[in-house]
Amino acid sequence: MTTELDPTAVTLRGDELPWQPVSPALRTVRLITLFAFLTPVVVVFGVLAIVLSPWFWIGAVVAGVVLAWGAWLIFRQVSAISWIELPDEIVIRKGRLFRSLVSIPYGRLQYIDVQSGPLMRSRGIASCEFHTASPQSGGTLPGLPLAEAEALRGRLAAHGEAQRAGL
Amino acid sequence: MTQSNSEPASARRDLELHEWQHLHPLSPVLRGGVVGVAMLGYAATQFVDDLFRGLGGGERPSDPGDEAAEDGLRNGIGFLFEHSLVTAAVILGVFAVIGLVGWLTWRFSKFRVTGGQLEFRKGWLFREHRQVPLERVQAIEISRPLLAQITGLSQVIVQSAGGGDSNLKLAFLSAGRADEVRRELLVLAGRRDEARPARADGLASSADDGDIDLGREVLRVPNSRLFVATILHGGTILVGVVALVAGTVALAAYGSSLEALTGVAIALPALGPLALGVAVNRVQELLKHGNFRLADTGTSARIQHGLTDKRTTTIPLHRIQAIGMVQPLWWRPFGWWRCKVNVAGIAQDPSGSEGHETTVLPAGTLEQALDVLTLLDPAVSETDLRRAALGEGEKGGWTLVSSRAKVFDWLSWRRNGFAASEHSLMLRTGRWWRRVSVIPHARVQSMTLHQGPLERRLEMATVTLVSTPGPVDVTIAHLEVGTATELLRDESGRARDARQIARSGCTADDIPSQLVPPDITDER
Repeated sequence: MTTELDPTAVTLRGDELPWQPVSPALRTVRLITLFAFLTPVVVVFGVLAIVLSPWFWIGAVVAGVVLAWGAWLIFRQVSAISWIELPDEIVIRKGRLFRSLVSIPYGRLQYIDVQSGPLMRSRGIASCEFHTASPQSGGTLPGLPLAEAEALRGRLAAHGEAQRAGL
Repeated sequence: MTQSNSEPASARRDLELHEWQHLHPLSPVLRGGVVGVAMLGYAATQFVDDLFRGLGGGERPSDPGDEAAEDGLRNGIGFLFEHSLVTAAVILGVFAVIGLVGWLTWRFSKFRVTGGQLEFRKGWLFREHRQVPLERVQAIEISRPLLAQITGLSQVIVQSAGGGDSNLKLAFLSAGRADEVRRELLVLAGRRDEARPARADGLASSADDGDIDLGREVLRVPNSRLFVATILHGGTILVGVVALVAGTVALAAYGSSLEALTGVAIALPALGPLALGVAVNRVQELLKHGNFRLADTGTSARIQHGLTDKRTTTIPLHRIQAIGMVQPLWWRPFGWWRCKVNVAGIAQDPSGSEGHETTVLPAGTLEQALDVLTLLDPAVSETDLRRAALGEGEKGGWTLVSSRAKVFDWLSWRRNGFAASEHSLMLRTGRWWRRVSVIPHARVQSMTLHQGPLERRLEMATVTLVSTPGPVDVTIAHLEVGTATELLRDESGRARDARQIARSGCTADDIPSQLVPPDITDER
């Protein structure tokens, strides 16, 4: 495990480093949230269209399209999130259209939040938020398996302890 | 263990905070306090309303046995009034649910100190677990909001560097317990000095009255120059241009200058609010930066400023995270620059004007700017800075943005770029609006790389070296993708090495950077 990883390969997309994907359960959770919000809208518009005026079909179709688009986006986005623990830093990549990469050195971590709502917990995932002295660098890693999130937090806290630097 | 000197202390003292501690049972009530008061207020107004209506028309005789809250509900849900038993049950149910949620909130909020970390758990449905390393703690304060004052409770606010969200609030504890916890935490964090109240305040205030008598005066900014520099601002120039255009149009429309003048006079009030806003803003700026003086005490920069309201600001040098200088287009003929710094632990104050001072030179010549910046960070070389301020092209080890960036930066693509020295990374942008940022490798918090769709097509990327919150932004847009990843890799290595040197260079005793409580003291 202590082999020197070449950080040259930290690129915005696709390289030979063992980038880790997030749990597919995140997709499920996000899809459930999306459907929970939009399905009632579609249904309401549908009912209105049948009862009142066919013009409401427009609303239903729009809501349906938004739903499909959101679902497609979720599939794309979740599969685009990947992360890796390098010897000195944790790197998180996100996004397809607007790509971003955040690299947080362990020595800079102030604290780590592990959060999970009831839905996420029922799917066995949690999200990790990394805080440095700057709020704008905050990397969030959503959709880690619960055990993995706790382990990561412990590991990073230990790394941070060993490499901690003053501001 | 990095902090060997705090070990015996923690072994002795953490016997109590070691266990999970609960907050004061009244906390959920207090935290829901605002909502509660609002609801009570609403109920009361409804009650009074009803009472008066009852006196006047008597359409609904009020029932003396009912609660005020119940009266409040009366208008909306007439049905419930017909069935007072149902009403009572509903109200009881609501109270029971509120009580249960409150109890659960209290039950699941707890904190403890283990292994040099302050841990705080809260939430029952949405769980949150937060850990703050004690050595990262910047300050521990006690605050008493109004409701807490009435009930004799306090909250302990544990501040670590970073934005507003990085504060950990232990809300609420009884006043005595809060003091105890604060003292305990300070001791555990290895900051015994501060655990004593009123730390060296006398010294600070004696240094403050009158002149800057501590340290060597580096420069003064004449008020006349500051006046001109303050007036030369985007806002004032906009107002001037609008007035000029209005005048010309009026002249063209009316033909004779007399009629044009009256036309402008009529049009002026329309410009009024804008002009007023700009004027107020400029005057504030002038008042803030007037009588500007900067002194060097060896370990910190002391700034005295304020035209009417004199203030002294101390910026400890080791707290400076990044430095920058800016030259707006309209200062170009005079060759003036403004210098700003990012200082650790200064939360971004949204109110702005009342916030801490981060301007170290409101308006000065290039020589003065270079003096100030090299004073604040002696490791930065003056020739490098000069090249960053005025230069362009690749001379002197600069890497420019992609040549395809012409599309975005058609004026400045030959100037925008970065250069790395052993100590810091420099960045320069803008041909008309010159901007220079310098961030020492050891101060880089994290790094980000962004790429939008357009940038992707042109194979470019934007790199940000994240510093603590402040006016200096270290972002370089539109680099070649290869250059950007290379910069990321190299900077990551340089930052790591610099941090290691910084760490090994000093023991736990002399890392004052973490132990000086107020990051900037802005005393009147």
